[in-house]
Amino acid sequence: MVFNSFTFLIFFAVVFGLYWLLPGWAARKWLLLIASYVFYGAWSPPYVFLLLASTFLDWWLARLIGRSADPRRRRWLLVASLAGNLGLLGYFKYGSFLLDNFAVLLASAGIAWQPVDAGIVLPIGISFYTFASLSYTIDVYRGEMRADSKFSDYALFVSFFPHLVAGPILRARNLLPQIAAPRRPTLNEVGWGLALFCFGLFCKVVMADALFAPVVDEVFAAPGKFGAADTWAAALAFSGQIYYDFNGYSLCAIGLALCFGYAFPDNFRHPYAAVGFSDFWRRWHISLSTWLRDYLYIPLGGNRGGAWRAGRSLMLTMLIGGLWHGASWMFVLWGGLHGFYLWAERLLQRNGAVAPDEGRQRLRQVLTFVVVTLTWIPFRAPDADTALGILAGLFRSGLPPMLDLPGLAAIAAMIFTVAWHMSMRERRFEPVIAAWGKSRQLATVTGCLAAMYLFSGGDQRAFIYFQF
Amino acid sequence: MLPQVPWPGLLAAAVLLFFAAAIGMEMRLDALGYQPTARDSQERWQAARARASRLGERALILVGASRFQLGLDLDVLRRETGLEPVQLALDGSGGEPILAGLANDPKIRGTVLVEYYDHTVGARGGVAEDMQRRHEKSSGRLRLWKRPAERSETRLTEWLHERLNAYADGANPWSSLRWRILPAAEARQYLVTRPDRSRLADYARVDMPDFYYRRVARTLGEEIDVKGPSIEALLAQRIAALKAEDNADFLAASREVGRMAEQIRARGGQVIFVAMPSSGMVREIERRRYPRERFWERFVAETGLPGIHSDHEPELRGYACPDGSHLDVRDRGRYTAALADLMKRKGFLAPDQGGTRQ
Repeated sequence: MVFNSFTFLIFFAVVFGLYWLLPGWAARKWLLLIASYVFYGAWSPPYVFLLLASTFLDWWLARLIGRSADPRRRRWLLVASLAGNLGLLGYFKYGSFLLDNFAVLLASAGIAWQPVDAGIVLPIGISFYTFASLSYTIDVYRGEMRADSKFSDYALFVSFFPHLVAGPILRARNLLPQIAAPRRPTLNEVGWGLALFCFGLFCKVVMADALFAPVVDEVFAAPGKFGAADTWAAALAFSGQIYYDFNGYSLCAIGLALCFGYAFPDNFRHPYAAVGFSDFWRRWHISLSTWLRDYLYIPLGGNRGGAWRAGRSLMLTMLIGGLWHGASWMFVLWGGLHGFYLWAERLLQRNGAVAPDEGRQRLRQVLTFVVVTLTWIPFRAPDADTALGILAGLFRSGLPPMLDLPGLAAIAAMIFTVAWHMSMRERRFEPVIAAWGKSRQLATVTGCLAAMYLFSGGDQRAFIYFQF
Repeated sequence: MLPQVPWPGLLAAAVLLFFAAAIGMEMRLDALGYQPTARDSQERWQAARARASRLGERALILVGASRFQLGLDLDVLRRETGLEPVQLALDGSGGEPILAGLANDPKIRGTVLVEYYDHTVGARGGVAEDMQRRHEKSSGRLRLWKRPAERSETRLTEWLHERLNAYADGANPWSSLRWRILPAAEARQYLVTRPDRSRLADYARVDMPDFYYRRVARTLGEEIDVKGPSIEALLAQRIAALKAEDNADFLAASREVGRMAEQIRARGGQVIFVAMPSSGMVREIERRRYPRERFWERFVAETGLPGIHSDHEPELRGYACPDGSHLDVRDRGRYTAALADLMKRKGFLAPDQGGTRQ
């Protein structure tokens, strides 16, 4: 079930209504748990059992870790949790990819072998819920959390429908205490939650799908056909599409959770105003970048052990981060490029070549945005040929622009987006909208609703991040 | 941190304003003569295709393009043949990929009516190929994996879209606003899609003769300004210059079509080819490019299949296509009844369908 569907609106209205009618906290939590499993099962009923099994395994292993004082046993239990989660992820997400690559490797050695098509269907959101669940066992192992949650509370943490299929990736230490403590959302929380949901859907339906996606799809489908102007429009448009798609989803998730009284952390903080790449990753998909930092980069050594060792940890983290997005070498390349930028930036900063607070911030913002935009090309391209075709197209002269109005609209929207991010870089949206006059607030919300209606009824695209 | 705004009142006001604007749009479209229609969506076609398999020998499956969608009345076919018609024709597409899929589906044991159009014999790719591929993909999946949310969304979306003028005939509210409400010239809806995927064309609602000339130009495959001076003479000149197409590939493709049809006939089914009527300059283009003796007659000979050409049957002549290519809503019922009667008399249908199978 996607958020931009009538089915979800009806589902939400029913769950929200019942939530307010039910008297007790325990009953409300059970309602949310059952609703979350219905939400997941509506995509594919059998995979509900996979979610349940994965949840139970981590909850049970975390309890055993919490009760054990033997470091060796604790370590083995953690390994079991890691193997369970990463094994699921490996089988469902990377199984075919690994077999295909193995076949290529054999072929290069002159051995012809074709893997059987196992017809594996990727369980939606598996990358998100396995990471959320893993954070719990690791935190318990590190002694940062107590493993005393009830199974139903823990199951609600993993499956709570606003974040279940596309994040933000929540930590048990953030959400479990909220689940444990009874609360009733205020009218203002519900109102702001619904407003955020409305803004999130606007980002998805209007900006990502109606404005940017058609330009991106057309150029990436036939990169050789277009000249520099159109190819730049498509590259910029993909920067816009992926931001509005994923940020839209995150806003929806945050807003929906708030309607039930739960606070989710921000997942984006005006990333296209970033000054440099470490700043970019503090602003883009924050829940993933902090997860990778805390559970991968730091255990790999982090900043310790000199520039080369830190660089190796950084590269490994970003390569794995790239692979997390999908079973394709293009994602690995994208992650590797970002790893390289982060490493190079760190070396330059260490050598004093880039002072963090020097006055040319605006120029560095624009440069960061341009490099990030170009780096999205391998992320979006299905294969290396397409990516190279797009890169060549950026410098292809002699072909007149063909995309006209859609291309111009995409470029204009991206200029507006970057300018908005720069102006909002150090600010939050809440005080800004609160300072607007009533008529402007009303016009904004009404405009979002009207625009969503106007652009409804076309090709319904699933949120990009559902596939990850 | 929550913005201190009276959200409940503000949201309620926004919703009210939005509904007022949407209702205003609906009323304006209504005043312009638009009416809600079914949406000829991918899901609807897939549902029809699945039904064709389920019906077995009771199915009367229609494969082709817009001439079938606009020209055949499914209620009349049902009444006249006692079979259950299933409309699988796809606007702007050759039907061969669909026929190939039917041939390979062991559940297809009914009667298949295929729209014959000389230039689509052997045509692959396009919407038909895409639809067929999607059908094979979805039917290959276990029933267990079918997605309840997708099914419910399809039903809800169809229910809503079939009740709002803003979605009439595949439009969305933005295109309705841009192309139907805002233009100074009054637009009029001439096509209505029914839930059974047939489409009703009311050519009294289009601007003639420009509409007709545009169709002629499209059939010629040329971009011609139909509002230009002496358009009739210009089109006639272009038509006069047309040469007959080579038929070597056509004949090879015809034999392949024959093999597909034979697979269905071997299971007890029937395959009948029907060439729908055309008129005026469109018919003249077709005659010049695809002479009867080199195309239609060779097709029937190569395939050995029953076929009906509307131009050659006295009962089916005399139906004028206002745009040169498609029947008007006022003629489709009579034409369909005449076609069904002819199929029975020629023995193309089984005895229990009112005929004696050939």
